Amino acid sequence: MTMSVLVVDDSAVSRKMVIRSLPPGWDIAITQASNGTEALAALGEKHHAVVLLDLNMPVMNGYEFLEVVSTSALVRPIVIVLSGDIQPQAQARVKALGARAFVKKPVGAQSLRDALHACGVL
Amino acid sequence: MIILGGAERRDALAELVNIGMGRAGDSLARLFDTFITLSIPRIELVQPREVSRAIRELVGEPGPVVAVRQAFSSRLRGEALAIYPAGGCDALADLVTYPDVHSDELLLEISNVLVGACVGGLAAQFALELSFSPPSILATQRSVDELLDVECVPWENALIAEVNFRVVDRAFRCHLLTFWPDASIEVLLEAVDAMLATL
Repeated sequence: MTMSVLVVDDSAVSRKMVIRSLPPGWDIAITQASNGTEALAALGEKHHAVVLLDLNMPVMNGYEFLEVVSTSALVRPIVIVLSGDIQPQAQARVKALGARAFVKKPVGAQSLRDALHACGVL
Repeated sequence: MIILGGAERRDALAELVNIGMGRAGDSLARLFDTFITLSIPRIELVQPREVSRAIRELVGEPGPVVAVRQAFSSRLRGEALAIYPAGGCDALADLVTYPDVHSDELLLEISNVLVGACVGGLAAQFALELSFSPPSILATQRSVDELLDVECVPWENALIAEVNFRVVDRAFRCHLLTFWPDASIEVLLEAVDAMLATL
């Protein structure tokens, strides 16, 4: 069955790089959002099994998005954070807010595949 | 006259800076053993007559600052300015407990770490190694308007990137400006175009 994946990043180039790094042949439908607010709107429209989330974004950043999702009545997606902010406390904070994995930017195909595996969606 | 071109190039440059900034934030977080809040990188292409205005707008600090400069070179050359609002420097003593270290020395060391991680992390994304000059204090207790003497600016165009680092609940903050003059802009754009061509 086709899986819905939401890619959230304020940089269109970065979203393209992430999408290019996804496993080839994986049966998914991709939606894109450029900040947390747009991502919440996308989740409100339909369920996405996986959210690939940047942290440092205008309007609503990744932390704020995770906070809203963790307290909402929505069916919770599996969130994998993809971030250039790699400080130990950033990784700990997003895990505490419910993110299942953390991948350092620039995102490589192998590290993304490993994270998807670890979350049991691949 | 250099023109950056499409939004995609600017976007890709910002992403390169973003990853460099993340490395620098990580280094600072480990040095202070605290969480560092990162900004969203801003990029502007300027000519010498606009540089004071650009610095003032990018940094946005009305009060006196301490500025540390450090040059870097290889195929990419340029300069970094680490700018610290003077009031925030007093908060440093609470953040790092290095006995008997003068605050100027501490700022030089922090700047060295930030510039090395940020500019080095940016260049590493296209496998460039840089050499860095030792950091030096450019100014203390000066307004951001007066940091650079326009008459002495040795380039015709420069790309300026601004990122900043803040410590929650503390007055300490640092703005890191990097200046990429003429030839370096071309090297950066070449790398960006190669990156975009793979997408």
